[in-house]
Amino acid sequence: MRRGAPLIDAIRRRPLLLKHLFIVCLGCIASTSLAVPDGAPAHDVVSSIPFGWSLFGLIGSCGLALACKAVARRFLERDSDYYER
Amino acid sequence: MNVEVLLLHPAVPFIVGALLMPFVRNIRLQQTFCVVIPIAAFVMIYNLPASAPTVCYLGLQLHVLRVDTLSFLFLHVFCLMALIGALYSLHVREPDHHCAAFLYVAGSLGVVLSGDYLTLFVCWELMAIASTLLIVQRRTRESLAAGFRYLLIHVAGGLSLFAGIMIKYAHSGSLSFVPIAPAAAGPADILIMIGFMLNAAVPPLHAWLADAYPEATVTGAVYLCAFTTKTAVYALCRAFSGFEVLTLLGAGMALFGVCFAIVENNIRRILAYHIISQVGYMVCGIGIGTDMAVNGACSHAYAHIIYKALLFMGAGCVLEMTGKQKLTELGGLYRYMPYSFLFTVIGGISISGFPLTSGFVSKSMVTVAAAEVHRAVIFMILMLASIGTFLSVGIKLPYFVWFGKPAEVPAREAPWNMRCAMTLAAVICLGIGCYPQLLYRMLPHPVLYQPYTMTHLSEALQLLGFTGLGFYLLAKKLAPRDVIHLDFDWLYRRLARLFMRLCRNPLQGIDTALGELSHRAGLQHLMAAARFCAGFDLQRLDRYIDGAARQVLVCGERVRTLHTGNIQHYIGAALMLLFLLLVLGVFS
Amino acid sequence: MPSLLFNNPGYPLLSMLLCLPLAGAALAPFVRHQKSLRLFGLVVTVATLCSSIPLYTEFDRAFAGFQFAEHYSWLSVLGIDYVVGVDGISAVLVLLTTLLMPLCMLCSWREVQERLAEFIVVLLLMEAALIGVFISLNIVLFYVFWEGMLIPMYLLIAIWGGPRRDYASVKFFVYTFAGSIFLLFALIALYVATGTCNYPDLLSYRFNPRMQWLVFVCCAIACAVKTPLYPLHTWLPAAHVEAPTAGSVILAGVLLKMGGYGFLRFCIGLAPHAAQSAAPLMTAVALVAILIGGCLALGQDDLKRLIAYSSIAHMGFVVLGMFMVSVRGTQAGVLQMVNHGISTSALFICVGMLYERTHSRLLADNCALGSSMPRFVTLFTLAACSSFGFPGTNGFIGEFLVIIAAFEKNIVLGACAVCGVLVAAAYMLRAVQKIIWADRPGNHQHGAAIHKVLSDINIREVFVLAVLAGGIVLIGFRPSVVLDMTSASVTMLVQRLSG
Repeated sequence: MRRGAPLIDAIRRRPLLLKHLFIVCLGCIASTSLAVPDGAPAHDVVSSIPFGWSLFGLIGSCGLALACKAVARRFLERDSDYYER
Repeated sequence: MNVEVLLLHPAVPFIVGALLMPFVRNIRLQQTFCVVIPIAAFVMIYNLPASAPTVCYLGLQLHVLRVDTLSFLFLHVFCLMALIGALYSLHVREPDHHCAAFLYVAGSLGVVLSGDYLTLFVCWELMAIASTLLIVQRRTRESLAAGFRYLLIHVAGGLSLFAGIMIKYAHSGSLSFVPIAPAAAGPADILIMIGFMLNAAVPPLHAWLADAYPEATVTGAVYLCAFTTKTAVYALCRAFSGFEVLTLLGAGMALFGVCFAIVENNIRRILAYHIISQVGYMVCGIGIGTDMAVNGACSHAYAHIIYKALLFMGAGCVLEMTGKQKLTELGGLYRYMPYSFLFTVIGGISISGFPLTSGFVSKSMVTVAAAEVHRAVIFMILMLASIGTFLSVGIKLPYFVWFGKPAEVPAREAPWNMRCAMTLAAVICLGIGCYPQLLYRMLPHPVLYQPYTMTHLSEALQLLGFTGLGFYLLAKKLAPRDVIHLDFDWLYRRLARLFMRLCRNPLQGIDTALGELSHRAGLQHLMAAARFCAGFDLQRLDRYIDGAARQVLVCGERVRTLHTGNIQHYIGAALMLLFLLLVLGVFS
Repeated sequence: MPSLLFNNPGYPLLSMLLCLPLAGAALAPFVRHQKSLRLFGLVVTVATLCSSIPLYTEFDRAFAGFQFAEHYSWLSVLGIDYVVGVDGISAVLVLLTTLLMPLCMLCSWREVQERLAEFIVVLLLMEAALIGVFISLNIVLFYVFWEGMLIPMYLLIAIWGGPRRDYASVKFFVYTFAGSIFLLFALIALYVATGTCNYPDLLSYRFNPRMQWLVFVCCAIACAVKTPLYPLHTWLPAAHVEAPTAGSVILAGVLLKMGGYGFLRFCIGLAPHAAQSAAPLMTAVALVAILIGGCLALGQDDLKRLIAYSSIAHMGFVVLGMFMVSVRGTQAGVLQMVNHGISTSALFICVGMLYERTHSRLLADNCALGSSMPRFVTLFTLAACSSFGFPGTNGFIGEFLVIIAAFEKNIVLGACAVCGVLVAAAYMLRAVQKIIWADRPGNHQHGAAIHKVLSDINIREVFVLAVLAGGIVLIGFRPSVVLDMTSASVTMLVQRLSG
């Protein structure tokens, strides 16, 4: 693991490279949705849409993150010592 | 009692270990015990008899050793987990930590092997007490309070289970722990299911998990994450397979858990909410009830125990080495704790369901089972929960702990035993991921599922990849803040405080008034009556008696004057008296 | 019709059990030194315990009537004979008494320093009176012992008690005496109606409903005060708080059982019809005792008051079990009496030990002892677990059987009983948590100062608690030890009730 940390440091020093690699990977992954056969019937809803699972992943994650943060901030957030008072 | 039957039980080495551990002073001997006992139990589970005689107790026939494929699977993973936990806690010198852990494992093995409800209940309570000890042994104020709340809620759940068992026994005369048909479920079965659901942390009975697990000891949390909830999953699988309510609750809890995990700040609390989420998959699979779904639930339980333990071990290492477990106080640790980082990442990608990890081959069975029975909504909810899982524990947690803004905390790598335990767990995660048959051949029903298909791989990679994109876009939004979030435990705490106030003030007031009543209505009046009688006695009765006595004295005084001392007077008086008597005698 | 079995092992066993403590009480004033006095008291109580062992070993478990019987004419013209005998129920209670007395002697070793001779005499007299209550088969003799027990208890509280001992002792005496008047009334009525005072003969009578109701109501009031049942319970917390440790142990361990015993013998035994009709009411009263006693205990900060209220809740379970009109329920009630005797005595002894060290009974002053007194804390936790019925302890078996019987009768009954167990767990665990771990914020220096001088329990104290712990675990794993002895007599009693 002695080479691990410097390796990670090296990657972190090149954020642009990381970003480009990421986009390329995402592109490849998204394109598999066109190449691969459909799954079982219930998958039709999402699988029938082009790049269905990719969109589901993106919209799902953003929607979940925003919704949860909004609800938590509005109704549930309290100071760390709330119960001690 | 058939002692031979009991000796074959794999819980026996753990109980013996727990009893002997306080007397073992030598640290090396202690460590040897810790490792040998789970291995011995592991060997014993392969030598269990297919059918064992019952044990007679209190006039009841108890099945303490009932083993089949379902229970064998859970025994297998529990013994494995006991070994991992033992390795992880080798550095702990206090024997009571090991005692509590062993009793906890013994309890869960007892539940898995029980064929009747009474044995199950006794082992259930043993687990509750032992797990409480694992929490309070941290000896901080928060852990003591959390442990007390934890125990109380588990006793309540145990009592619901107990009530259900008693009603069942009273009505049917049978205590057998066998599958219940959904159509034939009565109030007894509902109560038993509530008892099981509490231990499985099904909302709204889940708040104890997120409250207590972050406060447990570093090594205790590793045990806790594996046994209580999965024992409950086993119990639900055994008795309540096919109950529709479990499908709905399971899907709901899968999403509920990740929603809280996305916003939380405390690492172990995030992982605790993830337990709720992942158990949701299992409960949903049990509810669906088909062979594939039950297989999925069981395989997911197996895989989950290992990768959740891995995650808790990673979090435990961070806590042990830095003393901190809040995301806001940590960051940049990958430089100092590279092994812990690597293993935690393996755990993170396992739970997210990356290809070549155990999560990929286990979780998908439940979702595919939901799809097969045309439950599209359930399927979508479970997939959304997968997204949330990867978002919170696959990316957010590692990012803010191991990367992120470096926090000024001194840290160094975890000791060898912790790394060893994490290595073992990681190897199992990856091993099952690469060779799923290792797991599939232990499942209760024949497995026709093939995880490594192009469709599945494509789906998984798309979901995970674009979730990563989502995190990248919303990283600032997802940054943790040093706050807590209210959960259902707010309700319990408020109600409990109200109840205590009720016991102290109104009830105690009534009791004191009742006591004073006896004093005022009874004693005071009694004393008043006594004083009156004494007064009457003294002033009236006595006065007459004294008066009579005084009169007697006065008479006596007067009569005394008649004694003149003169004998002529006495003879004269006597003669007069004789004459009077004669006259009276002659003329009457 | 229960018969008498004169199966004495060559000597009058029960009379000997009665006379040994009396002889000890007579001789105690002549023993000079304090240490010899303590030893003497211990020897007498241990001798009584050993003499009571044949009661267990020679007991005929298949016979439902009264064994080891003795019958001597005394004042036959008034129907007062010396008739003694035991059945399963009274035998276990006698054994409980003889077991607890040596432990009382041992736990008062350091606590009682002044008037030691009188203390020993009072304890021995109380032992004799208690044994007399359980073995008497003549109702007048029974009443004599029932009342005779009051005086030593009163003295125990009034002389060796706490600051408010005058109030507590008088309240205890007057309250229980007032209740006993009803019992006397019932006994006189029985004599007038039948012309006999011997209990086995009385059992053969089938009283008319009015007579049964009279006997039931009067005896129930007397026993309800003794048990005690809510709302006739207010004397108990006061008495417990002010009594010395030995007093609390006897009070909780045996005295309260007299109430339960009275319910069985008189209310259920002599007035079965009335008992059947009144069972719903008694069950309701018992449930109220369980729930309210538990809730009251939850709000307490004084340990002795907490355990006193828990006694009320436990005796509620006993009465609940008895009035289930089933063999299982009544067996459970009797077993729960024994269990309560053992576990609550252990708890009071623990509190006594704490008081000797910290001079406070408040929870706030007795906290965070886990590190300084590990042996004490282990045994205290075991007693606490037994108190709320944790599996593996005797309390679990008793509560388990009561709850099964309750559920067999009515689901709501069982549910309420289960809630009672939950409340019991809550207050007991709260006490355990505070004693073992909880620390008062900002009080570290004071706490540390106290804890520096706190010593863990010594051999004598460990022995006392270990004996009780052994009982807890033994009955927890082998309840047949008690259940075998009581099954025949309970079956016969329940047959009378339903027949």
